[in-house]
Amino acid sequence: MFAVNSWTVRLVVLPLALLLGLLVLPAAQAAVEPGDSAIEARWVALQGTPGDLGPELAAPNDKPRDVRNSQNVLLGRVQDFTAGSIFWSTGTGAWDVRGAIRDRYLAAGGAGGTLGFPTAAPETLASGGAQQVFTGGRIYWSDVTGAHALQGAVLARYLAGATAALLKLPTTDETAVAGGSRTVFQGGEIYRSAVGARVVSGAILARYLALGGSTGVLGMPTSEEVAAQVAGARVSVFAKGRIYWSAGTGARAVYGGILAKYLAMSGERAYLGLPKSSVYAVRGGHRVSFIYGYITQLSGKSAVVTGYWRASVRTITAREIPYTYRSGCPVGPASLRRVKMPYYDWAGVPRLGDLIVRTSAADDMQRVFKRAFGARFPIRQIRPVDVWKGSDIAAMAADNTSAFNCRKVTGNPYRLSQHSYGHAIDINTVENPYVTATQVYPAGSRTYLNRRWVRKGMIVSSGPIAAGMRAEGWPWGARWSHPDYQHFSANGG
Amino acid sequence: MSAFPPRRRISFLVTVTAAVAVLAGCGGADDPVRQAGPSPSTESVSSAGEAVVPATPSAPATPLPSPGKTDAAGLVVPARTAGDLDELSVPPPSDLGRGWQQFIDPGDVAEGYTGNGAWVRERGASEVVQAVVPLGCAGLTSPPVLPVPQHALEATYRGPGDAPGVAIVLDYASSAQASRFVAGMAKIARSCEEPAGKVRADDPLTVVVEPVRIGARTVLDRRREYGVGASEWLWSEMVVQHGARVGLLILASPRSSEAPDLNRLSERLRTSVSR
Repeated sequence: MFAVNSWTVRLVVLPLALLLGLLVLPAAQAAVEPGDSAIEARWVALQGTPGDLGPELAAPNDKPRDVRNSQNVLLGRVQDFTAGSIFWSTGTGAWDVRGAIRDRYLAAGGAGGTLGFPTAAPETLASGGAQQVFTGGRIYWSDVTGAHALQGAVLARYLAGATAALLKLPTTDETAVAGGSRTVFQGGEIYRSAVGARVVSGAILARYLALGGSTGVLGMPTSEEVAAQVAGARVSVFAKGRIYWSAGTGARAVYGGILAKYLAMSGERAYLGLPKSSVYAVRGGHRVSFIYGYITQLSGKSAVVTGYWRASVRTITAREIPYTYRSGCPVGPASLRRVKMPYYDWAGVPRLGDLIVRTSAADDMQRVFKRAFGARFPIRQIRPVDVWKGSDIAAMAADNTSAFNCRKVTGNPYRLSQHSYGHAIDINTVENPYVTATQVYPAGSRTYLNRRWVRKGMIVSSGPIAAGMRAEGWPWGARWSHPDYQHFSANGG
Repeated sequence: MSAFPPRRRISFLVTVTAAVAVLAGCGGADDPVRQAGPSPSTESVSSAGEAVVPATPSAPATPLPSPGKTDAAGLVVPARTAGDLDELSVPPPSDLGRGWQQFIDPGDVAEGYTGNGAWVRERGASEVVQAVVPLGCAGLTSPPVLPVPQHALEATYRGPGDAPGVAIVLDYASSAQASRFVAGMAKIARSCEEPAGKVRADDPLTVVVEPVRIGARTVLDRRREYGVGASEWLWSEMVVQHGARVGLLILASPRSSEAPDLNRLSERLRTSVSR
């Protein structure tokens, strides 16, 4: 193909046309390739442009030429100049690419590569540096970072929301790692894998990298940093673990069987709270320390949760207990306390119980339940009877442990239940039934009348509950002729 | 724990009553002690509890100790009198109408009290004035502080359809104190009005008291309950004063049936209290 650039047109063809006559001119004009005039126009427009984007374009050192892909399909035209090139295609028009951006662009295959043609002139960024947009990606450049291309999912993630402001400029190109790629920025990193591109930054990134990054114990990130279910805390999820962060605990990695156990007990929302260490070795296994306990994974065994005792006592309002406290009750909210204290549930997981008792009984109950907690005595749940709308029958059937419930004795409007005073408690009501002359309460608990066959949750005389209650002077209903194995009270009633 | 559905608990009490009544040997010819056997419902397994079958190990019945002593549960067995008050101070069942009988409450250790084998028993003077105040009275944000009597005696009844009834006689140091008690009960009767909005079945239990007659020495009213755990009964309540004594009588009846004649019953009550 006969190629004629604009200099040829100006300096050679036009004078010849004037000399040789009008027949030559139409032939010369017909020989100009599509886009070449646009390239020339771009070049002309750039004459005298200040050099903040790089050196001014000097005189042409080459003729325009075709841009073709690997299948030899014509894509557009390009003309090189002393300090840059102008690329043209039908869809993008003619745009100059210069300096370090051009170097990076050409290294990536130029217009015939995956970046395609430029769609705009280079532009400076408010944050410093410059970028140029191409049909297949962008190249970012600064004196500090050099020029690096972003494409595909990584670029899309970078451009989404305020990510670019967080990450600032790329300091590497997208680099292949096992399972995907990694791109490093001034303020973080983007990892691309089968699940998409994920940003990792800040203290979580530092912890991630310290643990070997994508090739370490955590693997590739599968989520980005999001708010954890504890106020002020953040969490990032990786293929094989998690990193939790809070100002008070720092960034801590949890993985393996310890993480599985932690998540099974509702993670950071559960009693243990946030991790305050990453996984560390102990004799025969590993452990993670949390704010209120730790999880230990010994080799070949299931992870075991151990909680630290922490109890709180606070006042209560009538609004909090609408079903169990009503006008006319002999003990008002001012004389009641809400005791939050831990217990081990059926799965051996510490939970925070919620017991409403008479103020004078609050200390007694803390001592008893601390003793039970220390012995890992299992308790199904400790919740106010309000959860069951004040129904003792329903609370018993739910195997609840509770104390205060202001109500009349059924069938006698002039007699108050002992629980109205808040100094009687029922514990693990299914495993410790209440027996009358004709009935066993709750339904399904009769098997537990065999007290010699001790099963989980049963109160036995030598156990921590009965011993603790004895120490506090709270008699046990088990001694009654019709035993109430679940019942203890301050006055023996 | 013993918040039984009313009918089930009544059945239980009636069952125990039979054995206890025999032991105690009480109950006059005119006012036979209720000695009915277990009702069919007692034998059935319910969602609330399950029947004790013979194979089930259970402790043998323990004979009741004498009043003033402690029972097997360590609870003090109440006396059958309180000061000068005795069973003549409470209305005989025949005064209450057809079908009413004495009822021996065996007590409920889980609720903190035990029986004494009789249909009358002493009540704690401080405890009883708290216990007569209805729970869940919408207009009673600040219940009156009722004066504590010197002595209190309780009688229990069962009526048609196992309807429960309770009488309490309070013996004060002065008629002025007795008057203060009646005034307090009058305030309660006036305050426990129908709530502004409809009480739904799953709302907290609410008591509505409908005053029938309120005077200086007499308060007559009817109580109904709404919401979770509401009693199925209509309660007819009488409070009368005679000198330094106050008598309370509250009787259950099916809501669909004709309510008792409060004026007639209250005069019978006053007569008993004056004895």
